[in-house]
Amino acid sequence: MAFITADRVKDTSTTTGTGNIIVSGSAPFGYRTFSTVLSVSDTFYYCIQGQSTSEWEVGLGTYVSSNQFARTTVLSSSASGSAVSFSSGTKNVFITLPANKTLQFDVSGSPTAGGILYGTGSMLAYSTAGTAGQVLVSGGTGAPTWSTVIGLGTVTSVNVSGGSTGLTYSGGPITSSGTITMAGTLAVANGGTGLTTTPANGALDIGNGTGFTRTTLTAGSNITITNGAGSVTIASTGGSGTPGGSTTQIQYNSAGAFAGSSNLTFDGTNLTSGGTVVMASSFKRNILINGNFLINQRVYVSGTATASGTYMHDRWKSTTTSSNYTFTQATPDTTITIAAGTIAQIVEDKNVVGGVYTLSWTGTATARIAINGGTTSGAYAASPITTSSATAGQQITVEFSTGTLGRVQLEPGTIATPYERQIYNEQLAQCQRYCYANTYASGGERYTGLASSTTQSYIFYTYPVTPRVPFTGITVSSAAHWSVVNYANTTNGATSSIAYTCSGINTGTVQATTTAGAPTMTAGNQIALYPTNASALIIWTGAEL
Amino acid sequence: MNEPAWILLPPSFFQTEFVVWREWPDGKQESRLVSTFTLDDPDYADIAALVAANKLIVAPVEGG
Repeated sequence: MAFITADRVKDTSTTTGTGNIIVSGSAPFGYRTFSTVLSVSDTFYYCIQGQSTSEWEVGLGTYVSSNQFARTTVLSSSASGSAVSFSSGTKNVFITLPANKTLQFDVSGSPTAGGILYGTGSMLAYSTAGTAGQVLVSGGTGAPTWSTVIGLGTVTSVNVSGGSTGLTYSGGPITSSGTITMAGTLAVANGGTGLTTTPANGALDIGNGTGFTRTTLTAGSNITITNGAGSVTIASTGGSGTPGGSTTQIQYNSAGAFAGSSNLTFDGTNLTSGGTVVMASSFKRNILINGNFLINQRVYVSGTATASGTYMHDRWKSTTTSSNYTFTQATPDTTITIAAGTIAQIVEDKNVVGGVYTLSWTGTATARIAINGGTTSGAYAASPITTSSATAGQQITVEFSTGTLGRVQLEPGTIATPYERQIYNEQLAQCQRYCYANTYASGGERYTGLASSTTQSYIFYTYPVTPRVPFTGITVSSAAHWSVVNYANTTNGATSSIAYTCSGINTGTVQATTTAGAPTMTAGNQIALYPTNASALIIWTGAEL
Repeated sequence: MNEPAWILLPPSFFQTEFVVWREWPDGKQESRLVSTFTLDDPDYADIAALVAANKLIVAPVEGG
């Protein structure tokens, strides 16, 4: 597709209407046919002129096929510029040069000498001629004009000033030729250093609040600095990085150097000390007793609603009406579930060394603590809890609300460490300081005494552990669970009552009453009280807190 | 269970303090030292009078 213009192309057509024009394909003598110069899709300016009518049309045609073209754009016509609906008759059709697509000079004729050709919007025109040295200035949509450049002249002198930069210049002004020489020091405010001293090896420019100080670095403790020409080497003197001692030996500071000892080793699993480990807090750091609910001398039954002040597992007592918890006794640790109410343990004043303590436990129960012999109050919280500083020699009370609870530990300091489990017999002995129970065990228990009459006898106990204070009473599961045997004649019989008589801190005495003749005894007979039922239980009370 | 009344036990020859005793319907028996701070130098009759008046004060139960 191309725009084509060509001379002497003419044909005729009998096409009518406003549609495509079909030419005959035969040119008059002396002319060429359209197909000679056009290819399909080419565009060209055409003129159609009736041979015997006044109809004519000039426009842009598109050659759509051999000897046929479309009247794509009508430029002018006998129909006031619209497409002419040609009537019958023969029309001359030829390639033309439309008037409004033609550049022409006006009647003034020749181009202006020195003028510049420009468009007026409808035609071309020449500007006026300028004078020598002028430059052309745009006139917008109007004619451009020539203008004289203002300021032309000759430089007669050049000089340079350093202003407040700290720099100075010499050699100026130059009026013909020469060199201006720069000197001085660029000030800090202008991006310089303001320094003129030659830097020593390793020297750095260090800000001092107003400018810079050119100095070398100062080595701190365990640091060495080596200043070189263009380099600074910083090294640590804290150690060579090579461990002292042998493999697995833990490193320690031996007169400023790393060292190891066979007395303290760690092989990745076991930490071994060959000497004495001295600790601020002893290994026996848990000042709660029976924190794993292992000892149950009173035989508290799971889920039993218990009055406030009544003890359950050893050292743990109810602190609200009808408190109860459920549990399945396990070894070595038992987890209880406090279903209702609260339970508490009071730490004896003799075991409180003072300072902060941390209470920790397993399970969902929440707790609160009272120090300095106070009463628990306030909100309960989850494990762990750290107290404020407690006064030495003052009771501490820990109290738990509902939830699961096990491995309860109260220890000095602010860190909750793993639960410290006691050897069983030691834990039992700790509990027996506050409560002592005689049980059935294998049925072989014999507590010896003397008859004071035919129905009365006294039985003497030696406590396995010195109680906190002398016991003040006993609780007997049932008199029917116990019998008295007279060693003098081997007669025996069940008791009808067993009652507390007296107690010191080493021994205690109970009085048993039996039926005359069962056993048969008189005052002075040596007798023994013994359990006859697996539920037999005598609990010595009064030493708890 | 209704709480049973305490009974003052007769003094024995080596007792220096008074003891009360009671038995629950399930057979459990409790005996406790008597706190005698309500009387100066009490004797058995004094304590018996307190028991009769149900004004006896005994040591805490402490479970069991």
